[in-house]
Amino acid sequence: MKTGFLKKCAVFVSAAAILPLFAAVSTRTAEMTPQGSGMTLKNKLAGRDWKNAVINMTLFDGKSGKYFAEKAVVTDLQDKIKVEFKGADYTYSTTFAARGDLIYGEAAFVNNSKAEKWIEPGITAKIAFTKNPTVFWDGFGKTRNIGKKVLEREGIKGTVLEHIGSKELPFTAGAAFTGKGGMHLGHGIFEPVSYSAVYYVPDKKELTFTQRHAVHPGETLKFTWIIGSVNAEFGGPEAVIQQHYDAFPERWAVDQENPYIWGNSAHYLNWKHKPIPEETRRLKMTNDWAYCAYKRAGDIACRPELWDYKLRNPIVIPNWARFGGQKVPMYKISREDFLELRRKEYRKYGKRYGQMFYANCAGTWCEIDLAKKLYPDAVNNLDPDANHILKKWSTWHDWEIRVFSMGTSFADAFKRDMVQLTEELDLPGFAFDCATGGVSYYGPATKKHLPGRAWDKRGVFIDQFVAVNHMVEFIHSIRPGMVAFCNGQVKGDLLMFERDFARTDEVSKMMPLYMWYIGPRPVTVWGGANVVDMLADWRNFTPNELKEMFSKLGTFYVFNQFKYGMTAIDYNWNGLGDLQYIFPELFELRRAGWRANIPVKLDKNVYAPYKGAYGKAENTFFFFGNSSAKPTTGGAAVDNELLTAVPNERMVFVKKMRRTATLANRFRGKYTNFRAILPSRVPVLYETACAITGAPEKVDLLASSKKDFDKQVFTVKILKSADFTGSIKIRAIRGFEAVLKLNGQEIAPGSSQQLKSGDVITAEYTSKVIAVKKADIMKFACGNNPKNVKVKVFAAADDKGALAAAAQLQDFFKYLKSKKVINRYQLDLVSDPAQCGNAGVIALDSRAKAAKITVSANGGINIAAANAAELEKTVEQFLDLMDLRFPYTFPFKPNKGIPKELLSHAKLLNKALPARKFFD
Amino acid sequence: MKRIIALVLILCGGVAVSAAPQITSQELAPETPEYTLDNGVLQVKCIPAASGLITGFKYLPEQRQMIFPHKFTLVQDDLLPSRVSMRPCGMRELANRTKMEYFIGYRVKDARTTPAAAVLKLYSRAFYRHNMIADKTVTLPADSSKISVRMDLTSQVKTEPVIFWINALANLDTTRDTTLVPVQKNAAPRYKYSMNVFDTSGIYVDKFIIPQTLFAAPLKPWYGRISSQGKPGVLVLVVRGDAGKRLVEHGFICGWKSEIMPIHTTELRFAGPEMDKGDKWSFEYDYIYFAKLQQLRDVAGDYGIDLQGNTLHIASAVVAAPGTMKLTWDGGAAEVALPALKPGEVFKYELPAGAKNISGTMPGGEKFDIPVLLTEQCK
Repeated sequence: MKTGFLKKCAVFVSAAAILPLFAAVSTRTAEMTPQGSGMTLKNKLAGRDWKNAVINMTLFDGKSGKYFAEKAVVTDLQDKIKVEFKGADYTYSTTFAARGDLIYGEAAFVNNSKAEKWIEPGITAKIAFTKNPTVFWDGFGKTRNIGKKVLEREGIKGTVLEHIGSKELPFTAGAAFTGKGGMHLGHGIFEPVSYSAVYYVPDKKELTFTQRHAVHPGETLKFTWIIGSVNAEFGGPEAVIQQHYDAFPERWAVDQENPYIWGNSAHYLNWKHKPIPEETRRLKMTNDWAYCAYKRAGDIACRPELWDYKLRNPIVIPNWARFGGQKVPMYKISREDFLELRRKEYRKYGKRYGQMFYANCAGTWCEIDLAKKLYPDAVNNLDPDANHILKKWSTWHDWEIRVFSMGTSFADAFKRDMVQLTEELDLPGFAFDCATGGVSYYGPATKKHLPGRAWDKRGVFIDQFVAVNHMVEFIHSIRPGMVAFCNGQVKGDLLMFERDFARTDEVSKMMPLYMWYIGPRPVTVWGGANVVDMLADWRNFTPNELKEMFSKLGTFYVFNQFKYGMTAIDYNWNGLGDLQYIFPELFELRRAGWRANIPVKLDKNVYAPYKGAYGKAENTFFFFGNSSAKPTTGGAAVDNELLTAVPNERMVFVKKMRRTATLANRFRGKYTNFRAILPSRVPVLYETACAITGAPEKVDLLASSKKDFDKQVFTVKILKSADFTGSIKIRAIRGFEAVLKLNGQEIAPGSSQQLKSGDVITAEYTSKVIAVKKADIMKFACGNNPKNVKVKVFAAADDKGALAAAAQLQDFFKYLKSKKVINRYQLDLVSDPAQCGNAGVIALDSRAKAAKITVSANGGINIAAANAAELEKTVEQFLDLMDLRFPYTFPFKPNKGIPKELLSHAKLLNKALPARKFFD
Repeated sequence: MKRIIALVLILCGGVAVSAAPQITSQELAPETPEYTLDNGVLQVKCIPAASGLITGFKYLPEQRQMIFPHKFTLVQDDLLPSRVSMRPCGMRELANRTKMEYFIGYRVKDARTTPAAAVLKLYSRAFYRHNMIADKTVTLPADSSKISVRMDLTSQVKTEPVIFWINALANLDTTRDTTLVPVQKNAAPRYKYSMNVFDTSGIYVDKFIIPQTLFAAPLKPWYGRISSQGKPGVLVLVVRGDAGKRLVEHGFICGWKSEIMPIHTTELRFAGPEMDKGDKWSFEYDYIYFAKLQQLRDVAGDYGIDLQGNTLHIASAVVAAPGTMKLTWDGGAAEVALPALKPGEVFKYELPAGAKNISGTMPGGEKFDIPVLLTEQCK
């Protein structure tokens, strides 16, 4: 293939159009102008080791093995550039425009001939580097050093992912970098491109990106191009990827209001076991991976004609065959009884606990005899680089064969089944395992009008990921709010990373590429510590040594979760109090959106091997983790240009704490500087107090925060600055309403203001629901003995919502008693309205105007909501506050990764390492 | 039975020149040695800290290294216990459900040489997650092209049978090896795994990419690997004694390969017995290299036997004294005077044309037969 490429390099389509040279497409980082048959790209980033590049577009004919003879015509359209090839039986045009920091090309190839065309369009950039680039990035997770040889990535097949045999997909870009800057080419993420290639030719300093498409007669095929320049100071690939995130936020956007995707995944606690509402609340579990609720792989609907079949494997009673903790006698139960049980359990628990129906491994595997008999067109077994048969996979008793779920008979059946099940079981969404690509389908459906058709020496193929993405989109079309929970590098609302962080070899193979794909979307990590494997000689350790090991392990998981924005529940992590303690901050950061690029320079002496960044502009967060045994301190400089597109906007930061914090900030040029103090093995977070635009080069500021349950106040005092006209923006905090004040006077965020030394900016946030302070909760009268709780709960006799909510309170205290946090409790339900507001009374009302938690003058708590469902959620919020009054940490629990013998030896059986409360 | 003499005897070139066994070591990381056992025929490397992994297996007369370089790293960081990180390579034991990235850190009890052998004795308090004391002994006998591994496992609690893997990641060439897998026909599932279907028992010549994962009920307690490029030499793993019997009766051979990597892993998996506290279970297995064999039909003691056309090829992993080999086949029998054989030599014996159902007994009483070669892709 390389030979083919080099041949192609020798032939460039020559020019036709002659146009005046002036800026046509301009972004903050680059400016592209027509130049002869191609374009010139000027690097607008100063000091980034390259000044300009000559851009040429190419069009290769895969059938003849030659370039199309026609010449490119380049037209300036003021703020756009159009490049067009016109042949006797085709046209190929691309219109480039600015999109964020990227130059984005929308291309269309029209095949006017009567034969299929195999095309390989490309972009080549001959880059005028002032300093030789050192690193080539092909889109995969690791970069390669540039020497004399041509470096390339041909196709999109990366490292094999475990036994399922699919492969990692490259990020849809390629680049060459010096230490300071670089240039990249590519196409838009998640687009149906089954083959792309990227090359760097060192002696010519040429970067080329191509993609292959098979185009039907009469078809108009649309695809995209991306061209960009980056500041590579904080990582070359990371800078490129961040530009993609920022320019195409909608491609990673998921619904912030979806009730299932922003909490923890229950990791089978609510699927294999009977859900416990109080544990679900405490562990913030909002979804689960509802594994294989069917008998035969490929038949999720359990159709009558497919129910009885010959199993290929011996019967094994599978662990997973449990609905809501109820074992399913899979091999004895009749189809009718099975379906009845499934309906009953899903209707009871499915939506309440976000049980995502595990569906046919994303449509990539099907029971072998079923596939061969009913869906032969879908069998995906012609790619010699992949395995096709798994002899013990999702259902254990089946042999499964790889299938393709787009445009095939299997795809039709799969779609039909998903629609049916969504209605029948009232599903919240589907779980897509094996949601990966890197396997080429060459079957009969490639002849249809389908997206993603590419070609190679074997013929026309479509990569598996195109079909998986197609099915993800289909899930969304079934009904609004349906979730696609995907284990892989594809589209989806919630992603899974199925590795234990402590398997560092494995994680380093998959990261950071995996995370680059996930980007700002929510992701959960599945895989707890196998201490017993990791530390085979644990019996040689003393209990104290093991406790220290566990303590460090807890820090390791905390740091990794903040590094990647991944949340989790895992049996193996029970007992590590820090991991439960960090939920609020971790969720908040995750919602802000993980960043690939972390534009912070730390002084050399600051030891922070773990770092993370979230959000952007006034909604930015940073995480630093010092894993050493000693504290570390030093300067941090945030490059604001990489956080915001607004000129001269700079952020003011404060350490993110739950009560109070103060941080001195200094604006110096484009940087915000502050002193990072990183204690040993404690996560340190910074949040934005505000963003200021228009300030002079040098400004000194002091930021502080003060928080309670009901209010958060961020104050920024301008200590030293020349007078200036600027504007201020503040963060959006979920569940709070904000008021921005300047020297006590309310102002509109973003409005023009005169600012000077001594000015005080205040952002006051008031909770929409919670109107109680921590002190109110801590002193709420629960009886004289803290271990013997006495509470009265008011609920009107005819308020069913309130009565249901009273049961939640009952569960709360019952749970505390069962865990020996309290010795006993007495919860008296009263219906006399006169009791409301009295000390020791929690009044519930599901018929109020809006949700609110208030405290009376006498110290009674009132919880109100507009309906029963809202009251349930509001009581959960109240109980979250009450957790501070009655703290409980889940203890270590024996499991296969940390067996009982080990815990006993460590003297940690049924005990916990308490949270260190580092944010308090 | 009439006594006949050998029709053909060829002493091949490149015969090993023996030397007194030696053990040396070098530090890969602090307190992390790699031992080298050398007898002039084989040079074997072993890292105790990495489960006693055999990381080098070189046939010295041809300077043929059969294990890819290991890229060993002892990862030490602030928050996790120090641990071994290596690319997949080499040969070791595993326990079922233990992922390959985990290693036992053996300590060295003894490393000594005698005129008869170089012996490395290792000790671990645990065998992966199992509460067993693991004593592992790697022996390189003098004048031999084999190493013997002995595992002594002493259970510290009452325990269910542990399924052991002997995992061997070797390469006789730069391309993916072909494996020689003795398979039983139509075997029932083993340890809840379905076996691949073979219509006939025999030696499956696995040169195919599909099935990517092979599960086979073993006909014999060994498997071999050869170069896919036709270069002579067979590396064979033989499980001896009770463990070999368990392997054949209940265990299976699992092979995995990838078209895009020159890798063909092979594992022998078999369960040990149920053990009470204090019970010891031992098993032994050998890695043998027969430098001049093209293929392998059976292993009898230290002999490897192949059949090419009508010619039996006999090789020995040790210096074998002369003796008598008894042969039978349908309608015939012979007693063959077997000459003294050294590693690297092959004795060839011409059988009558069309001889079928061949079996034999070596001078020490070890029996063998000649299963058919299965060269068609299995189901």
